[in-house]
Amino acid sequence: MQSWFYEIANYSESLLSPGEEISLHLKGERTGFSRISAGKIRQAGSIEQRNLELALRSSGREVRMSLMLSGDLSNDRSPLRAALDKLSRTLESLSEDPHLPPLPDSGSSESRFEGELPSKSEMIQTLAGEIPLAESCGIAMTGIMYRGMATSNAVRRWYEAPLTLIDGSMHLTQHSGAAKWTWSGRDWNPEEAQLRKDRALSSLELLSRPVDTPAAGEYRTWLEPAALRDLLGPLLWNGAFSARALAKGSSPFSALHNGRVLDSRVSIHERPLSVGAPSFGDLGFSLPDTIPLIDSGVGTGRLISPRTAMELGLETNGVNIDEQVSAMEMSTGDLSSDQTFEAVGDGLWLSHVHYCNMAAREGARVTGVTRWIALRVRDGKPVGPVGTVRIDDSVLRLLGEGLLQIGDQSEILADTHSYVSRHPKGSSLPGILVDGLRVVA
Amino acid sequence: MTPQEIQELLGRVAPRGTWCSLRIVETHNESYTVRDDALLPPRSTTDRGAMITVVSGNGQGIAATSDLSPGGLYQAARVALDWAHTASDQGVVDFSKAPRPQRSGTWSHPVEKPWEESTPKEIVDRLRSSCLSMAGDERVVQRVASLSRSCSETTLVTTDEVVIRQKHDRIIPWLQVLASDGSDVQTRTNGGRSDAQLGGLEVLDKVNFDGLGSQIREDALETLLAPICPSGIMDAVIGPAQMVLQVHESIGHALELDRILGDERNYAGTSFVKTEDLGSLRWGPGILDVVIDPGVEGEVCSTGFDDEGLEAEKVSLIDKGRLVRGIGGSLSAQRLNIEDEAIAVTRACSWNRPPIDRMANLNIEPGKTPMKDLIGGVENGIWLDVNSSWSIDDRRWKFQFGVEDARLIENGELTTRVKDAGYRSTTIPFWNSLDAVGDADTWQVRGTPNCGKGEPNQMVFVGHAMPACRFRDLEVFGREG
Repeated sequence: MQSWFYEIANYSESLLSPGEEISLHLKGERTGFSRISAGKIRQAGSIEQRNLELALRSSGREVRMSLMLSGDLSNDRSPLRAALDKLSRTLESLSEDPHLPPLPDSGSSESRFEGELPSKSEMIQTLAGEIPLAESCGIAMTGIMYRGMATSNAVRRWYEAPLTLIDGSMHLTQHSGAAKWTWSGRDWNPEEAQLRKDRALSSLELLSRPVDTPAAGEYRTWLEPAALRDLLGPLLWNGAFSARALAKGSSPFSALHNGRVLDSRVSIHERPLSVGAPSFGDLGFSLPDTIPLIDSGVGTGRLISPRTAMELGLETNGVNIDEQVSAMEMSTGDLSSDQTFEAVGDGLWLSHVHYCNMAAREGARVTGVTRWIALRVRDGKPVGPVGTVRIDDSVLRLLGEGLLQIGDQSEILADTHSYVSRHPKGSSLPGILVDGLRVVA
Repeated sequence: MTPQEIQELLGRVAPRGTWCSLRIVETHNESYTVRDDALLPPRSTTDRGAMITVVSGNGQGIAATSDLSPGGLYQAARVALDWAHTASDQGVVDFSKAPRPQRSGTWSHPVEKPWEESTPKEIVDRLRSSCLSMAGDERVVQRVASLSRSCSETTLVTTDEVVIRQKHDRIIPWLQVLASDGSDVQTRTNGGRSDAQLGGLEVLDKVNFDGLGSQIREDALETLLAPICPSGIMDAVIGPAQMVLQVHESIGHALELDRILGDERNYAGTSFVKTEDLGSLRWGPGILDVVIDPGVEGEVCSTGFDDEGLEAEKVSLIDKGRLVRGIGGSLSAQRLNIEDEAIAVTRACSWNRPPIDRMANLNIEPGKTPMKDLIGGVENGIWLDVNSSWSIDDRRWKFQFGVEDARLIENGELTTRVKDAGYRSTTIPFWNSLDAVGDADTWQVRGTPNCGKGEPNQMVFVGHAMPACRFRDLEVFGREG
């Protein structure tokens, strides 16, 4: 796919009129998937797609177009030519863009990773079949993701990586409980995946115990890495670290740039390598190895897209126009992962928080509900599932005065979402122990 | 390609001895955004590809490809065949007996003012004007005026010579004001992403796009200065834009048959509704009528067929407060042994995803209560409209929603605006607290482009036509939740 993409780039550049510049961004994938319901196959198949975004610019104007191409240059020349003609005509009708950033400086990079992919049968068998007292569901996806970037000022960047993702769950047939398990990696490792699956299986006994629902109130709680990711999610897509949102005051983390601090043990940064994400953004700029966002509890950094940099007079760090993290990493602490129940003592232990949303910008208040492994803990031991309870609390408080301890191990959480396409991003987070997590219903 | 050419192509690439369908989707999107009076680079999309489904023996396999050449489709058909063989004997059903499209047809809808008849400059000028109309106060820190068009043509052909072609042209207007006084920030929009409609640029006239900007600015400033919403149990009148979200989350998703079957439980979730509830469960008072209606003019999911070829028709889901049927297509209905209850809602977001059960035009029928009586019937309560926050559990039972637009109702009159309002409840008790449904004058045809579900994930348009409704004894709260 790389040679085809570079041929596409060279051909597009050959069509430019004097004064025109172009950038091309490819999102490609070859994916196989198997979707399992109650141990049987609901849907299974393959997806192959090559989405090319062209950005044509001239005289301080830019217009963008995405094209789904075939992968065969002889078939793709015609739609490319038509697209560039249309973009060129549209450009003429536009006024000058006061915040149009320059194209990235010339440069090239290539990240090509290799790894073994599971066969179709292996994919199916990770989730299909019978489980004692439960039903297995989920999706297995495998294949190669491609990202390419080329500009008419000689940028050529390439990223190619295999990724297998097993996103599964087990649902008790005689009770309402369910446990989720995931495995992801570049190199298929069925033994590691089975260990993850077995761990989820072993939790089913706890989940089949009588539900011990906590009353509305405040609870000392261990939040697994995935639960912390869930709580942070709506804050991130509401511009938590966005330079533009911070400048406008709409970021839920604005307070962190106006004197409020988190616990000094909290350090968060954007680091593509931490989750194997590409080292360049959708606009073709090379990303720094690390972008500090919160350093020892203090809001220090921002994600500054090239456009925001132009508009606000800042220096870009090359991130995408949406200024959202794609590889968030949080520093670990010292609570051993096998001591989380003891550390809770009397309270809750949550693997996830489902369907979170920002309930109020003030305080970065987030609401969501328990799902998957959500346990009542008494005397340092899990006693049973809590059922479905609603959480509603300030994340600034949870990472500030409410933070008790941070786990000593990070978990790499690959992005399981596949809207439009698969995405080579994720987060690397530890779990946290918090005081007084607010249960409202 | 014409439908006949696609039919011939399928005949050439289909593996012998199999049943196949080929679904080609071509989508053209265009989007223009003016932010703080500066035009962002316009964006357009041409997305074209095919999904081929092969049934061999009792197995089914699919392959999606952006290579529409005969060679590309031939290769895709072999990949799908290989999947069908690998999946043999392991499917949720015997796919050789799965329902198949029966009738050919075409469907499209009227477009009064085609998008193509406006130049980019005319569209941008209109957006600039809207953006400018939201200015005029230093507390307004961000203004966004945006317009998107999504036009898709879907052709479905099968090896038993069914040919279906449909075209949908959709408009998504968007206005947003961000107001700040230095310590607080409030956002107001033109309906919280619920203003999508089927049609051309006449949609902008229908939703008064050109006249909304200054009102949204004033609303944002008023909200900024407003007191925080009081907490307590109170009666509420919920406006049509918030009813969109309310019905979507607590009726629509709860009734999807693939959730009830368990297909979605690894991702979007399941449902508190059980198969035995279909046809019997009491879901609100006798004034509640909920339908799937594919024939509402301008509603985004009006259609002739679903993506598995089932013809669309208006059906009742909740009839006078009794649950009649769920939301599911032919295959889900067959799996539940309710074949006659199948409705045309099996949809895919594009060529690269397989169809699954989705809401289409999910509507509450207008009632009989005028707006003045909805409000007049509340002594101490609140008006809630335009969604800003949404969260509900995976069984679609326990929910909490926030709104942009809230005003107190005192002695039957709308009074003080309040901010940061939210409410929470559980699905059936909430619907049982319904005591008035607004009349046709309160009923609005609305729609959203953002309904996510499925694995691999799919985002689709969903239509909701809603009246305002009144609920008794709702738990309402302000900023502290």
